[in-house]
Amino acid sequence: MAELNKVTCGGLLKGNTGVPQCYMDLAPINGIILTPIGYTLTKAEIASTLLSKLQTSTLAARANRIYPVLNFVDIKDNTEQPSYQTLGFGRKVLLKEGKYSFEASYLDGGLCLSNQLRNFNYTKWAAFLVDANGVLVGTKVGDNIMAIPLNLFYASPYGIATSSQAASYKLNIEIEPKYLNEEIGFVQTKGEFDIFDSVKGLLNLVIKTAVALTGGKVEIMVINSCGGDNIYDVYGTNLANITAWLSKNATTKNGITITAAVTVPANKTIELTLDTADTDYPAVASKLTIELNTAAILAAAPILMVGYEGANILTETV
Amino acid sequence: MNNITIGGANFNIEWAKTKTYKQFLEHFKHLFKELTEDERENNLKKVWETANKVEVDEHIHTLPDTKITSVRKKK
Repeated sequence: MAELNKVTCGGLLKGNTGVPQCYMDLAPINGIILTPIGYTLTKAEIASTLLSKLQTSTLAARANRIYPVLNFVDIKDNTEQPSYQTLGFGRKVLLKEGKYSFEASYLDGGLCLSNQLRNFNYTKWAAFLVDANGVLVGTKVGDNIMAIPLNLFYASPYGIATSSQAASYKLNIEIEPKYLNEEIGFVQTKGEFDIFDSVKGLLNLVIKTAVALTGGKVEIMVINSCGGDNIYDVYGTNLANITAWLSKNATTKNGITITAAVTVPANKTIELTLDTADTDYPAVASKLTIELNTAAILAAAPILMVGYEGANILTETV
Repeated sequence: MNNITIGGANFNIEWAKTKTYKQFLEHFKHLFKELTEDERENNLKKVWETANKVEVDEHIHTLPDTKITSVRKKK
């Protein structure tokens, strides 16, 4: 309750200095999980479905998706020191606290991951930090834990390799001090699951027309966006399933029925047959689109391709 | 069940339910070309019968369209 001429002195008389037997002592930050601003794990999710919640969120639509980057190989603390003013008689006054700032290096994924992460630059993100012991660090909101809003996320251009140094890949993060101090929230995942092995980001797949659409048939090659290798030998059978694919009228965006999907071993492609009698099938010289289904659909039965997402949409002329 | 895999090809069962056996065969005339005609038709027949829960011969005999009999497997 506000009162006239009364100063509120914050945490006065709240603190004590006893040393507990067991306390939180964060290990080096080995990774982060980027999330949309406001992404929250509820008390119930933390208690019983934490791993599945995190895994499901990696496959979610963009608005709710999380992006694990859990492979740091080094971290450099660039946290700003507190600013003081020294008064005329020598006494110092604290002007402001420094913000947490660190530079994390990663190696796995190389230039491919680097370029993917650079897509996240110049946008507001939140993140959970993950320390070397698998402690998931966020900010406490009631009984829940929310990802920490970042002041800065910046994936640097890669550092060129030299005769004495390998190519380097770095991220820069800045965080307000309150989120890792008074308002910290953390969950120990070690013992429950291995967060580094169990929660992974998606890989992009690119689809290409191998044999153009003719009479409702089209042959498609599916390649990794990183490296460009055809994934047929590993996932050809999985992709020969109508559930893995979507076709739409390019103008109306209405779905067109896919009637069959089959592997073409000679070309290492997937042949899709479309229903040319579908009312949404375009007229001659008009266009339709073909794309992979969502990451969640690809991950689930019967496709069972966990960790992949289509990166492009093909346009075919009837 | 919305789809079924037979002979390495995955078929849309819901769509197959809307087609006569003749229409179904005509639509997939490009599939299984590496197989013999009998093997090819057996595969497609299995798909259509699974979708429609009726045997092809029974279906053909009950159809008023006599032309449909032209797709019957020759014995």
